[in-house]
Amino acid sequence: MSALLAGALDQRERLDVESHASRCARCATAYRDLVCASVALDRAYAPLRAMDVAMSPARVRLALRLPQPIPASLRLGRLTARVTEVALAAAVTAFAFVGSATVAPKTTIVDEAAPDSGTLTHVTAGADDEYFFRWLRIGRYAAPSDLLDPAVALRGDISESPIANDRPGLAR
Amino acid sequence: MPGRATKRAADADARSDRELVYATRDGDMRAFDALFYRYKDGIFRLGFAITKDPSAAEEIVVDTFARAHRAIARLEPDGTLRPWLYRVAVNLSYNRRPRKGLVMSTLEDVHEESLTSDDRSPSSLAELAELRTIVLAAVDTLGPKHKVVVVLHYLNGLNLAEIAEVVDCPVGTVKSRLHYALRRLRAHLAAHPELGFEPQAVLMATTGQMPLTAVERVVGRNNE
Repeated sequence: MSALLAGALDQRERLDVESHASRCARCATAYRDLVCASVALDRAYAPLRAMDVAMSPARVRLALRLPQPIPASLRLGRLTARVTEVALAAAVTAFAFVGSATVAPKTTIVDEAAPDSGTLTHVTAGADDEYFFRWLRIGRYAAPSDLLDPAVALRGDISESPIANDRPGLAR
Repeated sequence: MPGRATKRAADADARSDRELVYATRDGDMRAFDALFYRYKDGIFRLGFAITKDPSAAEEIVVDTFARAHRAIARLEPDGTLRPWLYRVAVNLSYNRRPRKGLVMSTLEDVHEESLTSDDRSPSSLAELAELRTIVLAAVDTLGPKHKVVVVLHYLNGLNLAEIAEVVDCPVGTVKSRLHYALRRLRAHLAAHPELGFEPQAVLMATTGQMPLTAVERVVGRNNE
């Protein structure tokens, strides 16, 4: 009976069982009961049979500690990224070298033709801010005598110099 | 749909199990992946039906294929690899005891999820859910030997010869166990006549599938 229900009988065996069941009420009842249970089981397991599992073989490789295969698309992406990285580094290096070779240092413009008016002539020429800050640095770190025009220094004391008067505190 | 991609991957490789096993031996991991995609669903269902724990079922799938890969060199699949894999999965499932305090997700939960997407009426869905609960409870009352036969046949669709290979016993023993399990289940169903699982109704419903004309005649005569 179970073999018949499981589909394990061929056509001849199946006919034999059927012909016997047609004559034997006991076997027919038994078969009827088994069909009930079989159909119930079939229906009960139907949803689980239709279930798909989202699993990757990578988990097996991880368990076996096998190296993961890299797909061709990912390999191409990695190569592109590496080439871009190297190209960018080369470009930055070339830019730094070429830039340092071509940029000439600025020369300080000193107005030599200006008459000696008792003030620092280089402050009045060129880009004012740049010269001012340069002068400011000199004022901070140089000796006080270097700041002064020799002509002015000869005429009087430091406190009487035009720098000290015009911009107090800068020569400190 | 996550399952479609894996099905496509499994179907894409039309090689037989034997060819895939030999290709895996030669280091072709795509062949091994094809085997994985071919059998992972069945092994998961088997593990889930026995352990009732989806995480454990996933681990069983991984462990089964890990063992298969380790044993691939001495594996000689005559026709199909399925019985060998299922035997490993059955052993792993029964070796895996449920952890204490862990709330298992039951097969009924899976059924509930599937029922929500069904187009039938609420009453028929409720009846179906009740039937499934009763049937699966009856299966749970069976011993491991009988239960595994039922699961392998009705859930995984293995025939009697394959089941015999999986459980390592003669085909006659498998038939006997299946017969016993069906009788036990029939007794459970008889205690719930409200489910409408009367023999006559079942035979009427399955006439199209099984040409049991002689049996039907006898059953009809007995009912009259």
